[in-house]
Amino acid sequence: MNKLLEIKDLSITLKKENWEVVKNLNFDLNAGSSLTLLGQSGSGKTLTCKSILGVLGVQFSPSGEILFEGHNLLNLPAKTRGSIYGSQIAMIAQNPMTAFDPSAKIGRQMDETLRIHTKLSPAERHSRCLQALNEAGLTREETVMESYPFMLSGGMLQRVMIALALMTDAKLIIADEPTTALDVENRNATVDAFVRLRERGTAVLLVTHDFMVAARFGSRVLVMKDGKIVEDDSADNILKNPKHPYTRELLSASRLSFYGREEV
Amino acid sequence: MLEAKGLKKLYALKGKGAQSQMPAVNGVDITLQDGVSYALVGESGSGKSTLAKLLTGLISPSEGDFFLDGKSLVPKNKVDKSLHSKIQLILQDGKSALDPHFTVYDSIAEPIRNLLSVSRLQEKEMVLELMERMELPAALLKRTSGELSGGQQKRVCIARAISVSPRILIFDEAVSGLDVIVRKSILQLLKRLQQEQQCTYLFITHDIDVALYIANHIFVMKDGRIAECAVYDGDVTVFMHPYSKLLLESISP
Amino acid sequence: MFRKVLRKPQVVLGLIIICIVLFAAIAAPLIAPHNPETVNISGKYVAPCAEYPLGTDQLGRCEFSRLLYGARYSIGITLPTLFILALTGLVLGTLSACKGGIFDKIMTILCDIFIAFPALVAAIAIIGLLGNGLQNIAFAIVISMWAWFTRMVRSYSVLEMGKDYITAARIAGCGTAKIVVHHLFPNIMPQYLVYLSTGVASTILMVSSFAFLGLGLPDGISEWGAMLNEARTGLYSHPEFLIYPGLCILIATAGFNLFGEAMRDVIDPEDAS
Repeated sequence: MNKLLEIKDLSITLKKENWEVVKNLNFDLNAGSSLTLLGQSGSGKTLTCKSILGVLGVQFSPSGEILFEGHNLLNLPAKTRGSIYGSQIAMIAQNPMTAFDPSAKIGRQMDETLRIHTKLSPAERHSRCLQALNEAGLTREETVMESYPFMLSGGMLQRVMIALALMTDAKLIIADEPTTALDVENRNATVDAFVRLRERGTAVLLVTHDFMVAARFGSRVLVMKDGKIVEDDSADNILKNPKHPYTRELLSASRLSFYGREEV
Repeated sequence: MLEAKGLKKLYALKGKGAQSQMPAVNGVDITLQDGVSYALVGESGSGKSTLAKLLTGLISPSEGDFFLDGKSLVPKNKVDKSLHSKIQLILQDGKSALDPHFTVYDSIAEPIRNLLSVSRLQEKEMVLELMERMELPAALLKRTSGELSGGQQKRVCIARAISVSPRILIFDEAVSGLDVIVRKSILQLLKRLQQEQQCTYLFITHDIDVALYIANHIFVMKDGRIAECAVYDGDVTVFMHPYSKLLLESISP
Repeated sequence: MFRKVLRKPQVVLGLIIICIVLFAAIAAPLIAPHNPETVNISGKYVAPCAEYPLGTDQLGRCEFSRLLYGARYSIGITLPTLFILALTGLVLGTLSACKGGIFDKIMTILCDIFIAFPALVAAIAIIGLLGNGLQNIAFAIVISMWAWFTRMVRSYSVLEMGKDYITAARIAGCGTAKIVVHHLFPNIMPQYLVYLSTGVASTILMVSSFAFLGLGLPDGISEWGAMLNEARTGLYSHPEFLIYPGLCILIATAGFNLFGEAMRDVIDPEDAS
């Protein structure tokens, strides 16, 4: 099993207050497998995600190592950055409604990605786009291609983003709160699309605060609290048998109607 | 008991002439018994927020009426302040619902000053007592909303609403956007409060998990109308409407 | 916040200039070496010396004293005028945003009409009707500028009115008056003060422009704009008498503008968060 991503003793400090927001994080992700970072706001999950993507703000200083296929992403030379981010590591943004150019049709935006990164003919590109949309769980692919972003729901746009990620043949896809901006109806469909991604062999790192999203995604879950990992287990185990008191608290607070109707 | 009959709110569509109107609330009949917890679920655009604004007197209905103990509450001409002391509203975002320049004390005292006639001393006692019930330390009274956490802001909003001892409390997505653990503690507080105050709750939410936790009676709203009213006692099969079923699906893994 | 404000060099510079101008205006009778009106034909165009720090003009009047007293006119007319404008804008703007409906529509149309009129034309018309005098200048400025202030306040207010805490205040039993006074005023004040600060600069310019055109002020007065006008005849022989009052106007307006703009940079990012 080759390790795609290795986080070694990652600490992130807020410079101004000398405060360690993420404390000595250690975890690995193998190629083709998936991982969920589950935590509430302030747990450090988003910062961890940002440091892997290389978009941590200047007010933070990271230490430790983030190894992607052996390269340390924390001190990557500018030349290699371009070849890794965008082609080998792709990101799914939180708010799909703002991630697209509102003035261009979906088809054109998808086509552009392929035009830049591949040397396929227009017909080949078109069929690849359709195929990717289908794999991402969308039906009526032609209609989607012909639509402007505002015509599609948040959930559909999110799946278009997943389709884009599929087309890049990225080895690792990082999704930071991909369902948070979506309506309840769209959440399940989006999570299912991520499951399909995983089944296809792409490594997925899912970051979420929603327990039920983590449960549905069904991979290994790292529960984060105050910058540390407090529990590391499969989604199934955590749902049925949470060990850490914080995980238990999180679980009972996330499924109120199942656990807590009578308690006051 | 609050009874609404045939409530309608129409909004004129711009530029399409007087004939073209979009009903946000399209004929709602609803009855709220004293002391009972109700939840109102529905997708965005179903008219839930507009209904909340109608019932709290923020907007006037285009048609229909609603009554508290038989007396009509629709404000005829001027703003009817007595409506606000009977029916209160708690909004979604705690931070933006508080004036950033007001201290916590002033925020909580505001409805007391406007709607009740009590002396300054009594007002102070009431504020302190409310802080205690909200489990907030009195030291926070001097702070402004920006210096409070999300949960604390929400508690201040609740304190404002119950300060006038309203008969009915309407929550418009009041716990959406809170961390689940904070959300749970707020909901537990609200359950406790209801037992103490014996007031009626109307919980508007898109999250059926919250609805099932806090309420026994669930209304489902769709396209400006009440599509279903189910009495929930642990058995989810009481929900027949396809939208309710869709919502239930979203919370099962 | 004040400490952050003072860290910006523009603010400090602006403040210094404002203080100098204010000081000159207030202390002119004490520090001016001569009476600014005293005419002395035999002593015209005296070169700068100890007795006359900037020399004398074409009528033998002490230039330095005239400049100092000029500050009194600029500040003396501007500040009260601005105060009236600020108050008018505040009251009408907030009421317009709060009440909405017909009142708001009428107010908006009125503002549009008044804004459409070029200030100068309005001023000329008013002064032509009412005659000369400081009050009439002030009146002319208020008539031509009130709509700008009202519209500005209205747009700040409309923005605030859309926020949740206003709805919450309504539900807490606040009537229109309480909402305006307790909630709107404190929350729009920071932005409004910035606007007023740059408004001072425009008003000083307006006063000087009117005086330059000979509107509203008696002849020979030591107002900077009027001085500019009088110095025109000596453009080629003694250009310095154009430069001195011109510089004063420039520096005074720059000071207020610097201060106002820098304050905006401090306040807006705070607002954005």
